[in-house]
Amino acid sequence: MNERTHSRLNALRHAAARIRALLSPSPAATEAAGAALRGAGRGAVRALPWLLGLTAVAGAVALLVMHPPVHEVPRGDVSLRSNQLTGGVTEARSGSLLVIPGLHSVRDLPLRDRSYHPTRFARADGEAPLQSLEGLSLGLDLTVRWGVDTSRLTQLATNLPDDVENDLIAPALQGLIYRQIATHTVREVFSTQRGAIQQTLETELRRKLAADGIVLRSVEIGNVDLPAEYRQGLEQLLAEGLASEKMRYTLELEEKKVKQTELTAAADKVRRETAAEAAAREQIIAARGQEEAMKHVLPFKQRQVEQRQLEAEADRVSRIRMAEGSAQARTIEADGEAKAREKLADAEAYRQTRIGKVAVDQMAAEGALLSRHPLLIQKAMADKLSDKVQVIIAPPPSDGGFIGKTLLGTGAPAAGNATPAATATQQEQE
Amino acid sequence: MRTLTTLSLRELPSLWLTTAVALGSAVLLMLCGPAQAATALVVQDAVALRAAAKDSAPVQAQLWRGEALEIRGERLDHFQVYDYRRERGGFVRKSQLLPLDGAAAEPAALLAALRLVRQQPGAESLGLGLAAAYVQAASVEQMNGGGGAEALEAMGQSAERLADRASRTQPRPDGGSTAAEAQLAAQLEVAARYGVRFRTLARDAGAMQLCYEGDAFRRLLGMPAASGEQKARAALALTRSDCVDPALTPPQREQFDQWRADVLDKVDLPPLPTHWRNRVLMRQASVWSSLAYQQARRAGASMGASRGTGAASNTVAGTGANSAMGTVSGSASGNGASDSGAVAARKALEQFARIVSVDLAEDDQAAFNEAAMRGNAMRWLAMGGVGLSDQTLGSLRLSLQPGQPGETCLTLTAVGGREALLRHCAWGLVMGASARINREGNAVAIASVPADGWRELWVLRKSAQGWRFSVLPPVAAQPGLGYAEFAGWLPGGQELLVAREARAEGRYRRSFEVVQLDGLETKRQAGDASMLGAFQRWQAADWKGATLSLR
Repeated sequence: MNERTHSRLNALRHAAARIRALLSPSPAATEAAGAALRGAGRGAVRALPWLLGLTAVAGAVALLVMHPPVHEVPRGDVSLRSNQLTGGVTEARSGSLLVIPGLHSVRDLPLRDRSYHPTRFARADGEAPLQSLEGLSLGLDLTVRWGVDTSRLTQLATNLPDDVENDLIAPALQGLIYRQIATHTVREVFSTQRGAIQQTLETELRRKLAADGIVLRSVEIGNVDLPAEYRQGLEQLLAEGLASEKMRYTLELEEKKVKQTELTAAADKVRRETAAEAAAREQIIAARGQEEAMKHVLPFKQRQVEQRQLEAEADRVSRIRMAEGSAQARTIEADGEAKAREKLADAEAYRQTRIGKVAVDQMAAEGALLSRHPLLIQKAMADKLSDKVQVIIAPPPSDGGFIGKTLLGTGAPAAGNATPAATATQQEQE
Repeated sequence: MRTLTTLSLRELPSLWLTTAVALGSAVLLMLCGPAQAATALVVQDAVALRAAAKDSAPVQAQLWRGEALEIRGERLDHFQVYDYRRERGGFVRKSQLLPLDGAAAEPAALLAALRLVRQQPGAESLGLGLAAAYVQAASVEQMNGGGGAEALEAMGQSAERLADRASRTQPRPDGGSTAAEAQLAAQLEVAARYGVRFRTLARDAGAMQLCYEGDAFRRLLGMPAASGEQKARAALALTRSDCVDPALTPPQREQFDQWRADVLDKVDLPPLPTHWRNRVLMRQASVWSSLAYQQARRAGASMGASRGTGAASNTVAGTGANSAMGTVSGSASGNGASDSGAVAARKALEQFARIVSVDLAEDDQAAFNEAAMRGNAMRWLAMGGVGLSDQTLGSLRLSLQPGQPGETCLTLTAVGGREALLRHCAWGLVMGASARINREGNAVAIASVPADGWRELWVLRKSAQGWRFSVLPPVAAQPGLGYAEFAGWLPGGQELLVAREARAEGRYRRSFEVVQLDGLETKRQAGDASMLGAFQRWQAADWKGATLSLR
């Protein structure tokens, strides 16, 4: 404050000196001006206390505006004002606090939970990796969630270090975690004992930090960074474990599937049996219907057969009667025929007798004729030879010569001989 | 060892050379082999595969029409061939083979040859061979086009004709085989080699029937390029009634009939010529009738099963409850299956009604009769006639109640009476709505369907000893297909009119008869209802309006 006032007064003095230097060059003018300046200087000297007072007030006002003596409580924090003289502490969770420099000092403490994320042992190949029971390096991604004990704020305002996480939590955590991890194998840290380790860490760290007024909410173990080779082996092992687990579930699933199939098959069997039963019943009904229809037909068929038998019997009787009639008719016919034949035979005998008698008479006549004309024998023979043969009856020559001489005309024909030949030719032509 | 190594090293270049030559030869053979190998089809039956290129050479095998051979060379008038099935080579006269190379192997040429052969009786196996050659030679576009559809149809029809030929052949009593049978067996074997499969069904009287399995027709039905007529023919071939396995159980039969109905429904009817439309409609009527019977039967079986053996007590209670309802109080109590059966029966009648009878070909008469018989057998189902009912007929009350599963019991009582005049249980589908009583009140006629397509007439007759039950079957023969239908009562209470039509034991018969109630003996009959005076005067109006026998 004082330094600032002095610096401003010096600045005013320097300004007056520069004005004087400007007004000094001409003697006349200087003189005139000197007189004016002297008047002015005297006025200024007279007004100087007022000016200084005004400047001081303005500076004080500016100082108060620029640096107000109040402390605004940050959101989510609690402000603790300590009086340097009395040592009293005032707590404010909202609004503003009057803070007089030199008299008051203010400390803000968080009311909300905060997360501390240590990075030193987060990676197996990091700055300070953890060591397991086997001596293997491993990294652990930890998150510590903490808060301030609100019941001890007055005490904490003075005792708590400014950097709580680095000055208080980190040492406590390191002291615990290295020891804790060193008692476990990597496998336990990685899988089986993760929860137990987390629980132990949380318990011990909570107890340790509670003394310093820090309330530990939780310790979360995140990623466990293993050595690469170990990670591969472990992952394989875990994969096998998972596979065996999966196999167990698969087997259970298969068992359930088998049961489901059994149930489905049983239902299907029942359905099939029902359908088969219904089909068999329908078939039986159809067969009974057929049988009944046949049964209804049978009397008519029987009647038909009987009728046919009767018809056949009637036909037989009728045929027999017809045959008998036919036989009787044949007998009668035969009798008639015999009698007819007898009569015919008698008639034939009579006819033969008559013909014989006629023939005898005719032969007698012919004999007489032949006796008179013996040449008729030859003529008759020649006629029987063929109908192509022409017969000429000529008398034998009286001289006993060739019989054809008369025909050939070798000699004078006698008038008496010529007449029979002409007669014979005429007969032939007839 | 050293010597061997030295030798190997020395011979290494020659070994490489040998290997290279062998590989080159193999590649050359592979490249040239397919080009030289040509296929040929045997065009005659009992062709000799000889050991040498002369007719006096010994016969190694007999080849049959349609068999495919690989031609490997020719000598004089013979081709040197190799038969892959018999794994045997030989010589065959050139005149007995149709080489499929060059222009003859073009799809168009093969299709032309197929068109010629497919109509020839006895050349079915050759048709199959040509169709297979077409399928092999045709491109994807050709196969999906009209040519492919035609080839598939020809293949299916050839297989079907071959199966029909085999089914018609009667075995000789002495067990011997004729030349025709040997030819048929060989052609069936050739067909089997082309992947054509047949089903063997055992018919009545020990006869065997061969049916084509229908793969080509199935493919044809799925082809967009196939014409409507081709699809109709394919659907008809796939749904033949005579190719239904008689050994199928009722559920299988219902499933198969449903499949047949679906196949027939896929045929687009309007663009078809009338006679082809008639054929599809006739088949649909038959199939839907059969399906209606199966579904109604299943409904009856399940209903009876659900009621169980305690149906008798239910019957009594039901009768008592319904007696107060007076006149016809019956209601179809069937479930969804019986409803679907009624729908199927109605559809059958609808399809039958769409048949244009004047355009029926002579060959279609048998199918028309079958459709009419099946439709008429199930027509009461379409009218809601099946199911349990309780109805009053004059002074009588007729009730139908379930007995054992699948059994229907008919009870006849006097109105107001408690004691049953007549009770009869049967395994048929009893059509309650068809019950008719005569004017004299001494006879009741009712229809019953004990088997698919077989409808018989129940006659309840009042005699001096009480009411008697008698049944008039469609014909006195092994139940097959047919109906005996009530057509009217004659005055006097002694006679009734009956229309009968049946195809059983290989005989078809249709008659209109005047039947005496006592003994159900036929007094007069005629092939046409108009020729019987009694029919003209006394036929029932509802029968005349609804029956299919007067088609």
